[in-house]
Formats: sequence, C-alpha cells, structure tokens
Amino acid sequence: MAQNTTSPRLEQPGLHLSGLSRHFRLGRETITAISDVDLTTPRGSFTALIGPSGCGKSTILRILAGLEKPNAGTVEVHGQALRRGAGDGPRLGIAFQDAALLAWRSVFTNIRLPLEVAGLPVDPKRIGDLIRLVGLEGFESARPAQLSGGMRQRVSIARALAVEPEFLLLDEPFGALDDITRQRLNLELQRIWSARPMTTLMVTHGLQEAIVLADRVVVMSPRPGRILASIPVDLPRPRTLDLLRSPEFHALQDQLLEIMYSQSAVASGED
Amino acid sequence: MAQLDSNSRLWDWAFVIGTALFVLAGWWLVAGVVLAGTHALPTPDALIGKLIEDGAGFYARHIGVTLWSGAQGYFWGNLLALGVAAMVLLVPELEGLATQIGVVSKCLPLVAIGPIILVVAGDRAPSIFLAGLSVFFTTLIGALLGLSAAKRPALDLVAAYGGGRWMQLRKVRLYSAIPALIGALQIAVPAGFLGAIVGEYLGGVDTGVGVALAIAQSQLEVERAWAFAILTGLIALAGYGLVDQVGRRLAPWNPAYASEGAS
Ligand SMILES: Nc1ncnc2c1ncn2[C@@H]1O[C@H](COP(=O)(O)OP(=O)(O)OP(=O)(O)O)[C@@H](O)[C@H]1O
Ligand SMILES: [Mg+2]
Repeated sequence: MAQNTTSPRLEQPGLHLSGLSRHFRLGRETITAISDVDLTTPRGSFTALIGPSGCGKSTILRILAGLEKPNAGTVEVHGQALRRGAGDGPRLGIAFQDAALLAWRSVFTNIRLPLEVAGLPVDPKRIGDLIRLVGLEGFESARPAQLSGGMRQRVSIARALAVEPEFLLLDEPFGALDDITRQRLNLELQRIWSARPMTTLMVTHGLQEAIVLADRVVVMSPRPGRILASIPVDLPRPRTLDLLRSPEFHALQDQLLEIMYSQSAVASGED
Repeated sequence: MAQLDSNSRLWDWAFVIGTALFVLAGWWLVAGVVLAGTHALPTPDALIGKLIEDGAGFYARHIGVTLWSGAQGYFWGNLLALGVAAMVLLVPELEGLATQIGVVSKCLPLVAIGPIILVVAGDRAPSIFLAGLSVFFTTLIGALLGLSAAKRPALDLVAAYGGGRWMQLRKVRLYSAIPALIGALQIAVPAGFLGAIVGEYLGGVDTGVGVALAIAQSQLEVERAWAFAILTGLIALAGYGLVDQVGRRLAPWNPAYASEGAS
C-alpha cells in the first residue's frame, strides 16, 4: 500500500461485510451459497474477488447491489447500511455477469439507461466518450442482437461507468474478451479508477487482471463460499503490462494459485 | 452477398408458386375426379366462372360490410383487452381474475347470447359483438403473457440503479410485453373476422358474408359459398400480414424476427 496510504480516502470505510450468509432452496435441499463472509475494504480501494465457479461470488455482488437479502450478517457501504432503491447511498455502478442489455435499446440508449433510472442529467458527449473508451464507436445505434458477446460485455462496462459511480461492482466484466482487448480495457479501467478512485469489487477468474488492477485480492473457497485469504497487492501504480514480467508479480500469482489449489484438493477429497 | 440474397429470394418465390400450383392441382383432382358429381366442391374454373358471373361488386358489397363490423369488433375487443391488462398492470393481484374473465368470455354460449344482443341493440351489433369477443380472449392472454415476459436480469438492472416497480414497468416490462402482444394481435385478425361472419348468421341484417353464405347454402350455390370462403380466407391472411408488418416497423428488435436478420 506504499502508494495508496497517502490518500485520505483510505482512512474512510469502504465495504464492510460481516458474518454474511445466504442459502437457497433448491427443491427439497438447501444450498448454502456463502457462509459467514467477512470483508472490510477502505473507501476508494479496488478489490478483486476470485474463487471457483459456484462459490457465491455473484451472490455477494447481488447482495451488495441490494438485489438480494442475506440470511444472516450485515452489509455496509461507505459506512451506510444498504437500503434497496434508496437514492441517498453512494452512487452505484454495476456490470452483471451476463451483460443484461435491453434488446429494444441501442448501444447508446442502453448506456444511458442508468442515468434515466437514477434521474441524472444526460450528457451525450460523455456517453460518446464512454462508447469510445470501450472501442464501440460506429456502433452507437446498433442493437444488442447485432453485437458479439464481447461487444455486449463492453457496452455493459460502459453502462456501469455512466453514472460516475462512487461504488463499482463488476462481475467478470472482461470474461468474454480476447487477451489483447482485455488487457487494454484493464489498463483503461485502471486509468479511470486512478483518476477518480471508486470503491470497487470486481469478480474475476483471471489472476493476472486481479493483480494488475486490485489493491487486494480476496480468494474464496468452493461452495459453501468462505473467504480463504485476503492478499494485499503492494505494487506501485500505474501498473503496466511490464509488471507481468516482474518477479513480484510471479510471486503473488504463485501465492494465490497455491491457496486456490490447496482448497480444490480438499474439496474434491484428494487430500 | 447481393447475388446470394436475390437468389434466395428467387427460391422463396419459386417455393410459393410451386406450392400454389400443387394445391391447385390437388384441388382440381379432388373436385373434378374424386368428388365429381357430388357438388361438394367446385373445380377452380367453375369457381372463377361464378366469381365473374356474380361480379366483383357483389362480393365487395358483402365482404365490405362484414369487414367493417369485424374491424369495429377488433378495435373494441382489443381496447377492452388492453384495458383489462392495464388494470392487471396496476393491480397485479387482479391477474387471476382477468384470466378467468378471458376464459369465461371464450366459453360464452354465443348462439344464446347473440339473439339477446340482436333484440337489445339490433342490426350489426351481434356481428360487432362476436368479433370483439373473439378478439378479446386472444389479446388479453397475449398481453398478460407479455407482462410476465420481462427477464429477471433486466428488472434487476433497473432495481440496482434505484428504480422501483413503476420504473421497471416503464423501462422494461412494457417493452418485454410487445412480442407476445403483437403475436396475439395477429391471431386476433382472423378470429375477429370469423366472429363477425358468425354474428351475421344470427339474422337481423340483409348484407354481409354470413348472410350471403346462408342464402348461397339454401339455394345450393356451392360455387358461391366456396368463392366467399376463399376470398375471406385471403383477406384474413392479408390482415394477419398487415399486423405483422406494423409489428416489424414498431419493434424491429423483436426476437421473433431474429432468424431473418441476415437479409
Ligand atoms: N436464485 C437462486 N436460486 C437458487 N440457487 C441459487 C440462486 N442464485 C445462486 N444460487 C446458487 O448459489 C450458488 C452460488 O451462485 P453464484 O452465482 O453466486 O456463484 P458464482 O461464484 O458467481 O459462480 P460463477 O463463477 O460460475 O459465476 C450456486 O450453487 C447457485 O446454484
Ligand atoms: Mg457468478
């Protein structure tokens, strides 16, 4: 944190999840998606959340977005308890795991939607900037059905940024993209975030992008999802792709891989 | 690409014409050979001869009257169905009741109700009423289906940005309802037309397809009856296509058209 401890924002509370549990009923069975999750991050910090498929990452994001209620535990964002639909909390931007674009809207009006819903003023120039940011200039009036999966995901990222969020939730935002595009968008996201730090929680399966982007990487166990480790990434910013060749990067990557592999061995009973 | 396009369009037409010729040949065979002498089905040439003999004006007069009744029924039936759907929208608890109303409307003993309406309102009322009733059910069911067609992620999206039920309705539910609604409005066209014809059977009027059909039957004018059947079938088809075209204009994003996006 050498770089970031200078920022006064970090003294303030960001995310605070405490004793969070959520189960679902599936027929006659009860599935525990997450169990006793504790997580505290400072305001304006970037946290990456990794873990095996089905361990409850999206569930945590949905709870933070106010879309689902936990069965136990509490959630605070910027020191405030969540209230669904309340306009007085920190401004949220969210990109869901499936892009969730509205089929009847164009790229432009899809990106505009959060502003309409939140009753914020629409600045066409800014939306144009976002479209350029995600490399979709020329597709402003295309409908989602006319885009590729990766392009839809990029619309979804632009839409998450449309409200200039203070609090950003990203669920595998770059999952459907090729390496080159992903790396470019990683660096763009870092640039945006550095210019105006948002309290960010990003779910990803990519260790590389987790390390490049995050102040802290949180590793979850297989279902029922618990937090196994929370590893700080003390690498200076702005981080570039040169970082990927540094010994510090590889040491971190090895450390994270080791935590993940040890758990998958336990889970499948091979240990 | 243009080459491929015009080629495939050519094939489409070849298919349509081929099918038409096939049907025509089959018709001729059945009418001229299998059913020869029974008067059940006229041959195509006999039918066209009858069309010319009666004159376009004759058919236009009767069909025009029925079309007008059907159109009025279509309008009122759809209006009422959309009104009920709108009420369900505002008070979701009413959905069960609305579905019941729809089903009951479909089960009404038309032949019993028609004469009552004839006595009360007279003239064209039964025809319009039956057309409206036929339309009401399909449109109501289509609208109700449509209102529950919104996808969870889209609703979540609005909720995440602080939108409540009303906002979800405005930004998501109404649009999601359009595909099912357009489908229902299309099916309602032939249903309404048929309702208008059946309404004319109840009497009280001296023009209309229903009346003309009844007279043709009593006079054993088989050719004329068939001529009406085919003309009204074509008109219903045209109405169906018209609503389809309007739907495509209004909602080009409708996934129902997705497979044709390439052309
Ligand atoms: N609405 C629901 N009803 C029933 N079960 C659910 C529901 N939502 C999630 N689950 C269950 O909760 C568990 C965690 O789901 P979640 O979507 O949070 O996983 P995830 O970590 O995001 O996985 P992935 O990496 O594959 O996206 C899964 O086992 C899933 O079956
Ligand atoms: Mg997920």
